[in-house]
Amino acid sequence: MRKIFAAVLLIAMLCSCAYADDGVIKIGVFNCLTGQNALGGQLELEGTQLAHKLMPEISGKKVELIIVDNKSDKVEAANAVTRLIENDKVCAIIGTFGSSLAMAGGEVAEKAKIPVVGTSCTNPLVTLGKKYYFRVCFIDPYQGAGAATYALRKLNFKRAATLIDVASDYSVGLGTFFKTAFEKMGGEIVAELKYNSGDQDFTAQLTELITKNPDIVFLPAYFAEGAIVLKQANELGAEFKFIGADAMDNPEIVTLGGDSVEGFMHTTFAYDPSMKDMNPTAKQFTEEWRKVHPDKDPNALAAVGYDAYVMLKDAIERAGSAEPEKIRDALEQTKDLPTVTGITTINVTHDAEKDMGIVEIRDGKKVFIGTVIPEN
Amino acid sequence: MHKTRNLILTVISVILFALFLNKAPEILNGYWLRIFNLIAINAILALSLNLIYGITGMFSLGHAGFMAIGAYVSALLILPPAQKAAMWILEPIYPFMLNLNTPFIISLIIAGIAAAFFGMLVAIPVLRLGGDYLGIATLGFAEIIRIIITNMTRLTNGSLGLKGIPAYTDLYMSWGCFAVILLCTVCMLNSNFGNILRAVRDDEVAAKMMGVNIFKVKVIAFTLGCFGAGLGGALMGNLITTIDPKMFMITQTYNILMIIVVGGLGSVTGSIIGSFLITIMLEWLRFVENPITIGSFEIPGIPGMRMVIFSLLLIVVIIFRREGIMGTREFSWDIFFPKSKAKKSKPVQNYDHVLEVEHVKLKFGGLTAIEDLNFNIDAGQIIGLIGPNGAGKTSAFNVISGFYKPTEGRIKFLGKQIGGLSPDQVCKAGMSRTFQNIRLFGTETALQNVTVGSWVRQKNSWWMSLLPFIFTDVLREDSEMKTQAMNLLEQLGLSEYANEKASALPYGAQRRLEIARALGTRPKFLLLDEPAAGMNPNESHELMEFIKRLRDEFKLTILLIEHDMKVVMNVCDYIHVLDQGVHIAQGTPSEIRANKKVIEAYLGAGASSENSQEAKF
Repeated sequence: MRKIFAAVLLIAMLCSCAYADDGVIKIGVFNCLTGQNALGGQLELEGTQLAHKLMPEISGKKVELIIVDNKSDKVEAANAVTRLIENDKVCAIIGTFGSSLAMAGGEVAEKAKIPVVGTSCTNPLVTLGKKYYFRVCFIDPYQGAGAATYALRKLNFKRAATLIDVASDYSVGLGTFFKTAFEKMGGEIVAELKYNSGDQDFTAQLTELITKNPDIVFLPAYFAEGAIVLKQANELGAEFKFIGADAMDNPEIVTLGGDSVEGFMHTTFAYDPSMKDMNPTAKQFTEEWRKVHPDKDPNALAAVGYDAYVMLKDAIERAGSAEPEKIRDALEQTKDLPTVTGITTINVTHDAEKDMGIVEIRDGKKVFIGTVIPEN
Repeated sequence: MHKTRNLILTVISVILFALFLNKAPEILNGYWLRIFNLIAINAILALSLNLIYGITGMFSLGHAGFMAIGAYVSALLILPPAQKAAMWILEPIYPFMLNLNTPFIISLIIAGIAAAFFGMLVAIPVLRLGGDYLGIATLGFAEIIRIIITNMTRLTNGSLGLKGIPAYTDLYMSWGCFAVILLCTVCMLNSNFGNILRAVRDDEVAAKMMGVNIFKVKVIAFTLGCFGAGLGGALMGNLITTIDPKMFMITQTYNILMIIVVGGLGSVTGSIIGSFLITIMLEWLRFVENPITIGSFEIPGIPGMRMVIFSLLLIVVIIFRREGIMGTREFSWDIFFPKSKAKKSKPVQNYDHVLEVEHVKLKFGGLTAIEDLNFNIDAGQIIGLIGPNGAGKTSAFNVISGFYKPTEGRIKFLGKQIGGLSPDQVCKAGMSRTFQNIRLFGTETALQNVTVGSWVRQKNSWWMSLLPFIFTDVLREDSEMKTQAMNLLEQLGLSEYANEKASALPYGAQRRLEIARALGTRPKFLLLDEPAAGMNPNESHELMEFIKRLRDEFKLTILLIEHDMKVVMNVCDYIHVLDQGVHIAQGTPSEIRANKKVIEAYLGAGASSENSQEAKF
């Protein structure tokens, strides 16, 4: 029994070693395909795979995607990146959803001098002090400032409050940067309230918010908790509006929140299938996506997964080589690159500077209502 | 002889492994180096959790919390000031933290100590619980630690976590730390303190009676385990150079738990094998998530497949080999060589004045278990305590040996008041007992069972056993205790079983072993609770001789509970009779045999034809 088992494992192992090829560009993808962030990671991977399917060659060379799972775990993330670099000898890496995972993997890539293009890891610490980490998304301070700009300049709301998940780096970061930007532009923060990931009852915080009477509440929550907050606010008869961020960008919130999410707004990557005037890249992405996934709407996370590949492809073409060092230099020079989520330019801190989208829920549907450029 | 041989073999293998580590950076690529580092770190964590759970038997789910403390303390101590200044973007860091900087080794030690300190703080209230409750309480504490770290933004950078921790962890560092922890653990487990830990796991009540302060021993083991957790956490954080509170959730504890369950709860060797196996398997199984080509046939990769296979393997292990790979066994060079035999030497000694029970009353709420018990016992006597079922005999034993506190009255032992002392203190005073239902430390050998008894007289402190090369006295004392225990076994005719597991001994031998264990504490006064239970007439006849011999050879005073009247009447110098908690009679065996009250108690009023009763006795 045991011997048979061992034999099966051995055969399986031999099979796994069977691939190796020259003349191809090997690009590693590490993302959270299982674990608590699997939902986001899977969407991004599908985006990256779609891009690879449409553009299987760069400068005439075949591209091989090597995909590893980081299990939404830091230790695994570091292992996964090491494996991509040491065993699979990739020349560049794409990933990942979840900033803490990006930080763990980034450290390894930095030491091995292999460039990485981040997808939706928005924590500013990811690229801080890093030579080899870039990202195709904007960062939390930028997004926080974007929400503040929109609330104050477009909607003319002067009194804002924040409701923040203290256990989430994402939520804490966004909340802080919203506050800074909002106050800088002359607005007033009337309350800063907190909760913890996994909380179910927000009536205490909401009651206090109602007494403070803000015009708008910034809610940088994940959609599961965000939907409950919106529902309970509606039940308590709150009259202020809510604005969230990209983690609320999930069709599920309508299912979870029902009528109470009506009129809810959130910032997001500047892509949504409901967008009116799509750029050509976005149009192509939407059409191709629908061909491959007829039962699933294209979405912003898949779009950044797609864009990461596009950005890497552009860099390799400009570098004229698949040498990691040259790819890195080219990535640093990325300018005015048309991507699904808008025109991308990489700034000095290796973060993308691009338009930010604003989405509002109207009649139970997400409607892309425009873009905003954050004031700093 | 074989000790020297084993030592040489051990030294050779350590040198070989060190040479391998030295060459590893040239042979292995960075990926495998990382995995080897992880193995060492996982092994440290597994050893420390095994000490708490496998060896001492405390079901703790709090390991991740203590790892978090270690990881944060070490990271904060080694992060360069510039990196600190750049990272606290939400709230400023405390100014005094900014320039705090120590060498890596120092930070590791402080990390371990910090985790141990918090471990002790948690242990003191929580270890009063046992079993599942302890698991839940420690789980809760680990979560509390994590939430505190999340909220102390100025100290820990909150949920943003820390990054850019200078990476000092290489194979020398991780395996060096592992070697130190392994050496200390093995030395400790081989010393008598190790026996004590296992004794506490196997049977707390019996361990108490052997003079072990259970609570203290548990706190020590928990604290030491937390030191390992802190050290392991610090190394892990340093290896991946970035930490945040979410890294230390319960799943982290499960990972380590998985290692020790697969390796074998209570086995150091098992923990190490488990660390190798699980760390390597987790990475190696990644191939099942890649597309696999067999000939022209391609199977697409499925993310998560690895964990499915892994879970299946775990289930297989649990179904077919519940005790894990090693069970509680340890690796030993001896398995490669034929066995050698044990040897002999000389006997043990002495006593003087004994027990006074004065108007002792024991009540449980409204129920009176003992009503006014009053007697004295002189040195060198064998006293019987008899009575029908429910008469309060075992309660009387429990009061005398300290398991119950008398509601009223006083108990003097060797002229000293002992009523209300705990069993371990009573034991230290020179009293020992056996139990009605045998309570041996089942997983320990007969010899180890007896050496547990010598804990009360041990002069060296437990912590010396961590560093036996410095405190060589520990080794000397340990070997002395072993010799003495061996002698005891010999005297009781148990030497052939010395290295067998107590639970595997025949019934009669288990009974005798329990007595040997009690004698291991060198008592002056021995309480035997139904020594003849389950024996046939032949065996109980032998027992009578044995009890008399015990008294003479060990100069004991003996109080025994027994239902076998033949034994009682033949062995005892004097007998006390209890009925429903009342002390109804006392006298020599012939007096008791003729006592009407006794006959009535046993057979009911009216059955007083003395002759026929006498025949019964």
